[in-house]
Amino acid sequence: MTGHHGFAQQEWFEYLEGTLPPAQRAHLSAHLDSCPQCAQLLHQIRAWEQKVEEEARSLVLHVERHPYDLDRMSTEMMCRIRLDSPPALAARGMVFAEAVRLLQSVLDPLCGKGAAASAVRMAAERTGGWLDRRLSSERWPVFVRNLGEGVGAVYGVPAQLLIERVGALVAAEVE
Amino acid sequence: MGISTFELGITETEAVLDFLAEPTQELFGPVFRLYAPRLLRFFELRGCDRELAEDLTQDAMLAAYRRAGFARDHANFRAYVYGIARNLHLMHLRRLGRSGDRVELDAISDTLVSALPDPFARSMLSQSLEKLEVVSRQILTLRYLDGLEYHEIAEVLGMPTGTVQWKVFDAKKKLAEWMRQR
Repeated sequence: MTGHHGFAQQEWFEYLEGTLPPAQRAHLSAHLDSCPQCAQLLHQIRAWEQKVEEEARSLVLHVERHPYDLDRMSTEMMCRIRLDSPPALAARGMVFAEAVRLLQSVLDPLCGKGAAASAVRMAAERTGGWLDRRLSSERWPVFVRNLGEGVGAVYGVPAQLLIERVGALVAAEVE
Repeated sequence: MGISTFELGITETEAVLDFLAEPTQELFGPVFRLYAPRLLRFFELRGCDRELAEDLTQDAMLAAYRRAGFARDHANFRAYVYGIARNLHLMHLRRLGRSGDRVELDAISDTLVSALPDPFARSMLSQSLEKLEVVSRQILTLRYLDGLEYHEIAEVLGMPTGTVQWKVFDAKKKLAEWMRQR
């Protein structure tokens, strides 16, 4: 059905999606009228789609049979937002600054300088309370975990792993 | 069974545009009410119980709020939120499978096939997904269960839209063959 009969895979895709331009659609329809093999496959794909769409609708209704308590969740969310906004970063101490700069330099090519700085600042905010002191072996892993989770949430587990690994290497250097 | 934009008195685009223009707690309220039900469903469909689904939804929405600067524009906002939800779900799976400090990335994949509720365990959907490689399975799941557009799926999975479309068609072709042989 693809790579032969003179039609590209993208044309078949768009034909099924109903987005193929009219002239190409007419051309492909004419081919289907004369090619039982393609016509049958197309018919089977549509039958599969119809069945799966019906099942997906039922599955969603099954999952949502118990209503969500959005009022409660919304109230809890707003409380978390209020509580999760500690004071802004005020980094002090060369060791801390150097370690942070190193981690940030790993993030720069991944998410851009502005976003990298932002991610570091937010991780530091989440770690909270330690920014007036020099880097300690106790607090550094917490900061690295927060930074990893923050970056991982947007860029995925590999990015999180990268931060955690580099963070562990940095910790070994400064201890 | 979530909240409709009619009940909210504002469209999804308006809510997202307002929030991105001024990412305040107040303007995040309507965004939360529109997206939280979708994420709850996202997590429940992947085998999380209601309590865990609520926790992960709260975490995902908090991340979306705090990192709103990462969302490029309103057209990509849905993909941005689902991307966060997917990453948090994978991080949750990673925690479950964690053994000391060693983490095997290959062991982490979306687990929808084994997580479908009982009435659907042997459905055409479930059986179909089992026939596919992980990426195609993820794509069809995001399309048919989560209702994402192809360009949004591409954004969530970090691949070109053309690749997503090619994989969708290829998967459908395989499944049609499989149906014919049954």
